Amino acid sequence: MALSRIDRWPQRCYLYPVNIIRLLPPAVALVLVGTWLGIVHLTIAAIDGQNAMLRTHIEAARLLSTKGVGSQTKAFDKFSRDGTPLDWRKLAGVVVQMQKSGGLGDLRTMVHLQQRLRSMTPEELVSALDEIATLELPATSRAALEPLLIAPLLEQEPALVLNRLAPRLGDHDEAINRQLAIALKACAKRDAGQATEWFDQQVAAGNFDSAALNGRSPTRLQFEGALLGALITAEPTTAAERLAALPDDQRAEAIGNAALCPCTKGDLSNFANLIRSQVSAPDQAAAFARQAGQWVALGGYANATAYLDAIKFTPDERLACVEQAVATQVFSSNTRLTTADLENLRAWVSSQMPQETASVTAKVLCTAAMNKRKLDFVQAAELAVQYSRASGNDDVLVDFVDNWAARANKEEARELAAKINDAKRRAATLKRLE
Amino acid sequence: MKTPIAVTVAILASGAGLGWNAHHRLATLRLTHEQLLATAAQLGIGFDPAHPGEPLNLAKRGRQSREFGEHLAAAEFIAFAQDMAAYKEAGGNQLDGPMQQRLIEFMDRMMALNSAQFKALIVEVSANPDLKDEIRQDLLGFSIMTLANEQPQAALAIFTESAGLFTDAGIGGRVLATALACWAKDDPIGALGWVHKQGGKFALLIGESTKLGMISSAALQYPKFAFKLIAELSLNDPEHAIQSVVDAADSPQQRSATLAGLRSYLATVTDDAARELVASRVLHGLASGSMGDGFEAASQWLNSVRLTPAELVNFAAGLSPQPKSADSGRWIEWLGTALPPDQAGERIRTFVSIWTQNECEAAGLWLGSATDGPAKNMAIRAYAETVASYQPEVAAQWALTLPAGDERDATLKQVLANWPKTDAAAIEAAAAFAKENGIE
Repeated sequence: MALSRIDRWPQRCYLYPVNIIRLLPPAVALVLVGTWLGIVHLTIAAIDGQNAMLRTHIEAARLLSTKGVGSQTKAFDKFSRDGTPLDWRKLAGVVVQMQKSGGLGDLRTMVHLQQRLRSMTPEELVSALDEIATLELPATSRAALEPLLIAPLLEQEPALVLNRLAPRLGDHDEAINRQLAIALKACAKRDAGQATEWFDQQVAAGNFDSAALNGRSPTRLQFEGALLGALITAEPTTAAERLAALPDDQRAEAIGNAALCPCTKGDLSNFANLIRSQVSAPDQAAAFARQAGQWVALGGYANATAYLDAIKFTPDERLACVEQAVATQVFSSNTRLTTADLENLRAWVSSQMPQETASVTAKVLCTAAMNKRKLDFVQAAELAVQYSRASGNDDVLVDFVDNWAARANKEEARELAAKINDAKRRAATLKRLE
Repeated sequence: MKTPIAVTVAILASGAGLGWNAHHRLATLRLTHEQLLATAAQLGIGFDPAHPGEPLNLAKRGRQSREFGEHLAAAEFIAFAQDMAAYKEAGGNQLDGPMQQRLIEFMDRMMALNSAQFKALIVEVSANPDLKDEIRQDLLGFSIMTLANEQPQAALAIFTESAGLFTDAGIGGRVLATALACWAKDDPIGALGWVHKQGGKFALLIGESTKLGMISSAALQYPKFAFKLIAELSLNDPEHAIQSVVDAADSPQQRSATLAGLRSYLATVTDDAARELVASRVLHGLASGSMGDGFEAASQWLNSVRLTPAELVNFAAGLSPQPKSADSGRWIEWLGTALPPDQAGERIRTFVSIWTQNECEAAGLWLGSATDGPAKNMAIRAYAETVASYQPEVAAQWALTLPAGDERDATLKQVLANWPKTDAAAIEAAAAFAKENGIE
């Protein structure tokens, strides 16, 4: 028995190393994995612990600062009521946050601010504007605050807005120019002579001089439009004389800019007469279309429909208006073009000029895909195919291919043309693209 | 021998799987940690690196328990809501002075409630059958939004518990938008975590604008995390969100932070086209913002951030002449030195062409004093081709100042092509120009 054990011993001795060697790789793997995971988990635990500690301290600090915010809010409430100077820098932060948040921001502060602004005299508002100008705020903050002060000032004393902001005419600040144009129109409604005199003085002083190669000053034409908007019904003869005094090639833009009131039907009638009498025939469609863009911007397609219903247009003018309304509605935002946007525009175009729905859709898709502004080319092309199939003809696709070839990429257009169903139209389109 | 190998592989595979999860968690925790440190710094809490667990200054500030003001009785809420309903029925769409004052006082009173009191009031108000649902939703929504500005998490908790009250998606959406934006401003990762955990329940209320609001708010202090939100919030229109991040950077420091955030974010984007699109949008925006600082400040910023060659190309593409700027010429010279010649030419051409369209006299004056070299030659080409439609003789003179060769020949041809042929005299002048310069 003992011998047999001894006999087996060497064999066992021989077998052990073999087993150990065989078990070594999994054992090493286990140790390595275990160590690695252990280190990672220890690190996780450590960071987790630190994060918990940080959260506690932050929460505590926030509680303190919440108390502080409450106190500041109360202090703000106080000065919002009793005339204590406003902290414009802080308010700018609140307003910018409100504009960016997608929500309503700090409602309470905003209501307080509105109350305070409503209670301020024109002189106080002007003084506040001056104070803001000295604060060297970032451009976004200043741009957020100034309209809040200018709005009540426009209601009370538009002439004051004109006089105070006139020195900024040369700043090329679109927001300020827009406010000034609104003020000019408001002044003209109160006293057309005085407003006209102010504007003419500014023109004479060179504040609207153009440095552009084509000699145009878009800002001057914006102001001319604002003034014409007020004169058009009150003093149509003066409006006509004013428009006639502009160079031929600038009249369509000036009258097209006229800020008309959708509620005054007479405005539109006089507006159309003015265009027919003072704008050269080839530019009349552009003038009407420019105005259509303003109407859609103010109240969407419903507003544009009201505009189109109010004036008797030629088919070309009507098409120009429809195209401009759609372009304004679609391209005035930075967001991507959605299927809903396209469906809305197609429904509206169909209600106004059904025969143009395909061509307008194709143009919009093409413009949207230029420089990937609103769509990628692939998406736009797919939509063109989809609308063509849905309508049972190739109209959208053929128009899209033609537009894309002319404005962007002939090769891509040629490839897409292969998807035109109708063999004759496909061949004709490909021939055009040779 | 096969079994141990299989076991080894299994152990390594399991380890890799577990390790991957652990690493992912670690990365998230590190991100959170970084953000918490930044938040702590914002709140004035400093840490001694030797004792990271101990804040340096919190103890000195002393703890103060929050004192809540007087409770707003539900009865007062209901009375105000009824008055508001009557006011609206009488045609008062815009609140007059006294009503505004009452609204402010009402919101002040609501803000004096703690969470438990707030919730109790909601329960009582929601059970009141005399209140008009529209007014009830309006006032509760305003109250929660007001609370959200100071305590977004508490506001979200209250909203989550009372969401059933808000049948008007517009109000519910605004409450969520306000609370999430306020939260994201100070703690973007926390807000993102809430959206991941709770957002599914309110998917219809958390739309694109709410997500954009979170990103814009986060970008004010934490551009890096704003990019992370873009990556994780499943946006329909990420480009719009990218623009909002760039717009938030309105100082050189903030632009540096945005650039750092961009670089970190791009390291996580695998799709080349998507990476290029994001990079170009952000760098275009940074270029535009930098131009607003003036050439000197922008140059200093450019030196400090050391753009890569690819970044420089995108930055350059975002440069556009500013009205009445004295810097336009300096930017053209910068383009000539910062970019490789093949890319500088096209950028200079575009820049000068726009400048000439907008301010031809200023562009011409600069050209007259610019240092000779390839950048000036490219600028002359663009200037001549642009003015040719209006002042062909001036264009011709400039074109002839170019060194003889292909560039000059091409410019002369383009000047001829753009020469206005409005009347017989103009046609004759164009023909003479073509003959003098041997253009067929």
